[in-house]
Amino acid sequence: MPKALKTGSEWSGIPFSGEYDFIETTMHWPITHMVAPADQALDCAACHSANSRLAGLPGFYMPGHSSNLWLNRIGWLAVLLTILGVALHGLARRFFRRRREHH
Amino acid sequence: MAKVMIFKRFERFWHWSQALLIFSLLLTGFEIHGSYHVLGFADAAQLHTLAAWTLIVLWLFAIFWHITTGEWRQYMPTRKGLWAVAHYYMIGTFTGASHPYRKTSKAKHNPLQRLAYLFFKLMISPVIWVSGLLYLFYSQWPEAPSTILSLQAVATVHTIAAFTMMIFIIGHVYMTTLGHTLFSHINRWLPVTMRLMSPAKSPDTSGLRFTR
Repeated sequence: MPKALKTGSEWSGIPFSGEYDFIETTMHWPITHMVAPADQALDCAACHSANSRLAGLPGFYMPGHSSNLWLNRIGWLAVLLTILGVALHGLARRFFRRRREHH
Repeated sequence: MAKVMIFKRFERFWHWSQALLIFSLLLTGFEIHGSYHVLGFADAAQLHTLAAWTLIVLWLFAIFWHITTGEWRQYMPTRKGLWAVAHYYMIGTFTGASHPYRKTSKAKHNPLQRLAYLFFKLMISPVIWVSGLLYLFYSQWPEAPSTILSLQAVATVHTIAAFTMMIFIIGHVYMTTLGHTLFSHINRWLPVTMRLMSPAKSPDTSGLRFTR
């Protein structure tokens, strides 16, 4: 035993006094390979959502998590203006038809 | 006197299943984009992919149909009558003029429609398909494109195309009501038993069906 300890400490460059003893140790092994229980499993939205666990991390694009603020603003504005445009056109048609029917 | 079915059975099948698929794609697509939460990301992504593949298959059939029947000619742009139709939508529809265009089986779409649908078929759809497939197969990208192409760029193009599609549909659906009566345009796409009744009193003498 001292021979092995001596060789080991020489090899790793740690000084060895020649005295040795045994102590009680406890070791925890993650036998689930760090996989969480089913009820704690991650779903897609754990990452794929605005305030997900990836919040604040830079350098990647992830659908549902990252999106271009200005693209969204301009896009929805254009959709809204289209709806407004057809609504006005439709109301004007109704208005002019009624006026024709009354005259 | 014979009533003519302007839109053939396949055309109707293609049109309505495409409509259903595009609505599902828009609904699920903007959920994946993060605009709202309805189905949840997992279901939205799965349904989006499924609907996309279905639409691709439908498109392959539609392209085949357009080529073999020569119906692609319906989308050849023409300047003749373009102004008359545009003028009708801007002024004539308010003053009670009748629609300047008469549909026949030989020319189903008015000049403005031809332009709009050509834009849909040659611009919006291809951009959606190419960006969508790149998006879908992002994890299989080889080294080369990732140096010139980023997922962000692909997603941005895909989103712009989706917004364009949504705007197209709003305009498209509204313009179906611009016929002689509110539903006379859309009725041409429906089986006789499913025709919608328009509130207007006038008999249906629009150019929807032509007589001979």
